Amino acid sequence: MATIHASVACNVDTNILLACMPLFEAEKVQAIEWAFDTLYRHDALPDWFDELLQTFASEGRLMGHGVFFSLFSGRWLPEQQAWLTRLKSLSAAYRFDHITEHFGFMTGADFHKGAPLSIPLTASTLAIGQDRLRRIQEAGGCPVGLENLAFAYSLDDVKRQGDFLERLLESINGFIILDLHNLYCQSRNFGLSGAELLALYPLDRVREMHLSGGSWSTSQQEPARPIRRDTHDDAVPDAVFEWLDMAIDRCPNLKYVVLEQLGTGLATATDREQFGNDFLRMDRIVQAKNGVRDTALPNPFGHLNRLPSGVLPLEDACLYQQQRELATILETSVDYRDAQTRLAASGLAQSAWEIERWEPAMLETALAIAQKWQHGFD
Amino acid sequence: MKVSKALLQTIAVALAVATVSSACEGSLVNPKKKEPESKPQPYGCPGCGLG
Repeated sequence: MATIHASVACNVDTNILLACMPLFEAEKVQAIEWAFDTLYRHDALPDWFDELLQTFASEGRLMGHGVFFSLFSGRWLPEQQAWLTRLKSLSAAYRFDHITEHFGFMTGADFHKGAPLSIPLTASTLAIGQDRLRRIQEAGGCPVGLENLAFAYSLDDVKRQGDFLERLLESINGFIILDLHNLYCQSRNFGLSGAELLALYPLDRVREMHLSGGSWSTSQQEPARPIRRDTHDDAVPDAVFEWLDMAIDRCPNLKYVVLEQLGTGLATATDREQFGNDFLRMDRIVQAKNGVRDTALPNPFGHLNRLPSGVLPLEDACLYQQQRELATILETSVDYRDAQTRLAASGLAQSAWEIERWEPAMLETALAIAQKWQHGFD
Repeated sequence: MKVSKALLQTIAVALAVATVSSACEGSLVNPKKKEPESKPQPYGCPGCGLG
């Protein structure tokens, strides 16, 4: 088994850095994960953040995390090519130990807007996902992983994600970021236990875990059913720590456990103290496991086959049209009924999207997520 | 992992200035290059959490 490193998601964010400073000073942070594509508003990093990245990169302890690539977009977008070019440049400047992105497609019509939502498993989506992963691997020159998604429209959607990830990642010998709070969302929203959810994933592919907190929203369609959302703006729930303890033993190739929280959730000294306490609780679990793990296992992830030069990116015009239709409906419907009516008349009806099986409360939640992020962080 | 004291002190100063100036103006601290002349942006970054 691999040695596990207690890590933080560290970005150019004043509140996150303020929360991390006591942990850096205590030499508790063993690796950092940088969301390298979220600096679109700035021309350059501050020198001191560049030095911080280089400090961890020089020890092989820097992870690159993408947010906006939109892996399953049915159309190859100029912004995706620019994203890859930027990744190639950053990978030359910083030695990433690995690169990750998210399962799903972004709802936004423009890059850096929208939120990731799930996608049906078809021959076309699988081929597009594999094509994009190969391109990320080429640009990054290091192992590539995908993070499981918190949101699902239905229990079937939840149950197929682990298999979908396996089929995507086997093509590049890639790995999974298992986000335990995302699993927690699915557990609370669909009534599965942590053990049942873990059993749905190829756990030997897990190289990284995420821990975070979230929030609850309400459903007008199902008022008695609180919906858990992955908003990263609160402390890590106790159950997620318990799942970490349980999951580590089942993941022999786990190398990093990362605590992540949005800066907006770290605005007060109390918030930041809670973040520090969460990190130390996570670190205690990790170090206890390291004490009994065999740490001799080599890294099993990386290149299997290179993308031949000149191969054009796969596209699926019908899929892209469906994605745009869905995003527009989610972003502009006034309520669940409106969205349901428009979906039934759309190109997604009676298709692989299986919109007829989407749970009302989850469609409501998809509306809320898409409308929350349709203008990005503006 | 060890981060040098000099770097930690530099970060601490940058954050202190950022905290004060964001309270006053929302301005940047010590960018490597000159920022565009359009509206300056604070050091806020989403990571994920688009839930």
